[in-house]
Amino acid sequence: MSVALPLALGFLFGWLLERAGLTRRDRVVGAFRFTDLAMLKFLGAALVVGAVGLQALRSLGFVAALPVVPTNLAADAIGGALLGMAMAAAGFCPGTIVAGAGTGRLDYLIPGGLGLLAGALIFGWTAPSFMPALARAGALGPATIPRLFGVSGWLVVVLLTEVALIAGYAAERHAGRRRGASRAHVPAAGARSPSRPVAPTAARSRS
Amino acid sequence: MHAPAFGPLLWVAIAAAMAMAAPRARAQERPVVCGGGTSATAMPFSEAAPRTSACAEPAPTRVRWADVGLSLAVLALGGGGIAYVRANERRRRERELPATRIDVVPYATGAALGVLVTVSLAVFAQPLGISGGVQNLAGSVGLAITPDNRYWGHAIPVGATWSAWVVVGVLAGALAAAVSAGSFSLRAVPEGEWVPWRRWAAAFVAATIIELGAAIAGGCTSGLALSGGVVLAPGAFVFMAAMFAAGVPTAFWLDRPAADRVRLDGRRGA
Repeated sequence: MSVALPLALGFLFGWLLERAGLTRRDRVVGAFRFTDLAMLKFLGAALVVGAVGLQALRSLGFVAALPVVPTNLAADAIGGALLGMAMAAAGFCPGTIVAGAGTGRLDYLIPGGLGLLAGALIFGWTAPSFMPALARAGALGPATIPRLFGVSGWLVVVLLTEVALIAGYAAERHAGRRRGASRAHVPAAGARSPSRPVAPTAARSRS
Repeated sequence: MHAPAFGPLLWVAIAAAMAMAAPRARAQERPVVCGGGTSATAMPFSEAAPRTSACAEPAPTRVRWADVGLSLAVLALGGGGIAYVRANERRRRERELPATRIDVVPYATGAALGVLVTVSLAVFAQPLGISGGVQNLAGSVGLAITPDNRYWGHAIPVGATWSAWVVVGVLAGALAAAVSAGSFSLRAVPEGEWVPWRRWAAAFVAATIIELGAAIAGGCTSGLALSGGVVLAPGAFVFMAAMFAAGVPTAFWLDRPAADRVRLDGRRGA
């Protein structure tokens, strides 16, 4: 197995995580409080570009087979809830722990890295006792939404794109309104409450 | 880039939807070969799942009402979106509010990540994940302690796998980005007022739970939510929904006004 290729992919990934500011704890926590939507914009843009790109490659016949993550509804929901809870509390996820460690953050490198190791060890030791039963609950195999519901993949991709565009527009409008309201000389800016809760809906529809 | 640029983008999305809803486009769609491939992050316990039933679906030859319904949903959402954007922009002009300046960095870096995950999946048939590589590396440690373990080496590979090298690359890439931007510095705690030992304890516990959760779900934010989301795997969207359903209350609860002077996560309150 070539080492250079995964290293290069990881290098670019780490570079992007740092450039997007996701190695900052406040930015990740802000995504869960809807005070800093950069992480949601980052994820949403990546999802849309990747979904459109892969769908295009498939439709044009460049790609025949793609690795599809198997869906196990119960395991996905439980794992996601555990990860989301801890991510919102600590302000990092596995990718940003590693990237943050690279930027010199010792709380990411030492307790974060040891925690990742501990979590993986605990899972490896205990998984054979509970994972087979948990993975059977709501197991759909390597399903995709188009195959599951028998619809065209393009329609799902376009729907995802539309939701992301509207959410992105709402998020930028909301930010603009907040900035506009803070300027005293702008007339009628105070007519609209600056804390109108647009962002939560926008962010949730993205996820 | 100004906010009104979203309007034309929506038109493009609608035009694409209408073009793609045509039966000709569907007929060209190739059947997708299923299976997690050799990926290290693929769920190792999914053998119980009926793999073949979801894969061996014959090519459709007649009108599928699900497609028609979804097309209508696409058009309705697009039309509603355009109406919303236009109404909003008109109101903004009437009130003479300044045009929105958009910080494009999150979108640009996100789009670049989208290209990266496309390359990773389409060219190398590997999800772009972190937690799987961490499990492979931890497996080497785990096998050294308990050589007869039935998980490492059986359900998942151990050692320097593809995913493990991606982890090393992420570390190097973030280091290079920080050094080139001049933002690299050794820091024990994040920005703000922290009690260092509490932050470190909270970070350790949180990272343990994060890796445990990622292992149960079969991937983390990148390996499952992103690499699964771009191929429209339903598990990715369930995972993201659960992530926010649990994360949002946690974040608000930690930041509640009546929080202690030193919070559970080690941050010093006001």
